[in-house]
Amino acid sequence: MYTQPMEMARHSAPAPRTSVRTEAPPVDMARFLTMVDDDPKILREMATMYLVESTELMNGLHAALETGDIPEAERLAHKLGGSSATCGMLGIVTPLRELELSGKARNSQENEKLLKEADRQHERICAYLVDNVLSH
Amino acid sequence: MKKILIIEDDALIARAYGSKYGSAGYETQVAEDGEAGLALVQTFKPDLVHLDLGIPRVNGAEIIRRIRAQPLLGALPIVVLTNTYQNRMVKAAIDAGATRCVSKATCTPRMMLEVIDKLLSRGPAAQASAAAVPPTSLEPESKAPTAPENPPAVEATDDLAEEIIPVPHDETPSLAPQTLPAPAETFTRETERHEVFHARIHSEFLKRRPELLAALYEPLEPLLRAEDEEVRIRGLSQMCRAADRLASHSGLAGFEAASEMAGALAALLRELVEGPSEISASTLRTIVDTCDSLRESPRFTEESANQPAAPPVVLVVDDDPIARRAICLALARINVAAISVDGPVAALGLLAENKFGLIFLDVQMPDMNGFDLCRQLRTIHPNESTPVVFVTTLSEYESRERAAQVGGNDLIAKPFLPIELAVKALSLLRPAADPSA
Repeated sequence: MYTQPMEMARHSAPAPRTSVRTEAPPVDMARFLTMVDDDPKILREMATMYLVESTELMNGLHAALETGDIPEAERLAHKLGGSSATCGMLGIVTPLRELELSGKARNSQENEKLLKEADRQHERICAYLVDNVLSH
Repeated sequence: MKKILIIEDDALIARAYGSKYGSAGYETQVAEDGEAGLALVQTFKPDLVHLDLGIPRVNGAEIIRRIRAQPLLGALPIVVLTNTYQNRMVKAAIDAGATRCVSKATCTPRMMLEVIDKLLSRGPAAQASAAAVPPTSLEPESKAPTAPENPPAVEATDDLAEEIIPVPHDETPSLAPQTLPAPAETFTRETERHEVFHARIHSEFLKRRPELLAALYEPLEPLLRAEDEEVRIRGLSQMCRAADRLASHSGLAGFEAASEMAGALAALLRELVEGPSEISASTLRTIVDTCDSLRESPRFTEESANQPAAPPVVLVVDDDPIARRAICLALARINVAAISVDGPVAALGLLAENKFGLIFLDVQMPDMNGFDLCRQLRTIHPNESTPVVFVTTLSEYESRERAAQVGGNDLIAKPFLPIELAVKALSLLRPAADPSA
């Protein structure tokens, strides 16, 4: 079960850093703030909602790919990609979009690689939200 | 005589407010940009500043900061006229020390005068007049001109403005307490003056409207053709100024719904200027549709002026709770109530029993997709003709075509800008007085 980011959110603790590469922040805060009209209360509400929703969808995505349910995997990747883009969680959008496409091609090796990247980006997003939104 | 400095780059609007304040016994001066405004603060020594936030050269928030930085001017009342949808500018103004922020779309010169009278707590004359104003006076003004307006207290530099305000000098009100009529009589005379003033501005606006709309359309075609980002940004900036101007003028003339729509369009254009990566086929289409809607809008008919819009309720159908919340938040910006449901089954139940003003539909949902839901709702009374906008990541040409085939009115691409969604909603929701509704 893929639950680590939600656990992190519950305890409001910084995420373990798994990568030392210099990457763009996983969250486009300008877009996120635009969406909530710069309201700090709504920002926290949406960050929490994203953590809950995205973790549930990532769990579903893992389960769908493990059981070979490609249509369901495509649906979940599409849905999470959409809500991530809406909130400015840009880091995860590319692997999810690609996962949608490679899912269509039934390429399990490629799917696995993209799922791993989506997991990594999801962890980065959750850690970012905990550090920069929820712990303030 | 108390003094008001008007910092406003639109000569006609400055003139209209100047006349209003002048007829109420205030001395006024106008500055057309931020630098001139700051200079006049020193030399004219106003008792109050009326400031348009979108002023050129030095922006509104910076003007307030610079005024507040001077120890003797810390308490100088600064009343700011704003575009409701440019929240960041408004917040910046408040943070800088604005005394009051009022919306261009809903605040008439009469309301502005009431705000100013209160802030300046004028002597017995103003108090008697203020006491006669009923609590409902913040409602939009009515028409029916019956008496001439008083002379402007500002120097005339604009011919059109001179036409707006007649100059019967013998009617200039005195502020001396002993010359005051009884409060009820004062109220009647003041109301008549307000009505005449408003009727003239209203009529002049209708004459000037084609010119204001032409200014909005002028950069549109080059903008749509442009591939170079710099050219696009230039076109968007030009349109933004034109939309802002249209919002100010229509608000001043009492066309509240049109002013709101133009103001929201200006806010969308400004967001695209500041974040050109958000420019997309969807946002450009929204801009074109909104311009067309403003051009053809019944919101500019005589009947719709000063008529408050109906309170329509919007239905949002999306299986993603984040998308639902994001759409409802965008609608809350334009004070539109929304009901959101997580799928077509719940939606169909609501559609059979409630009339909605507008429906936002996701496309990919479990059980039934948005296209099928739209086709079905076109047969359900009372929502057969309710506008439907699809909000989806499927923004390709085929999806647009399919949306039109099933009876959809429009499509917005995810991820959407909240202001884009708000603009779209404003252009599709019909005000109560819309004669075509």
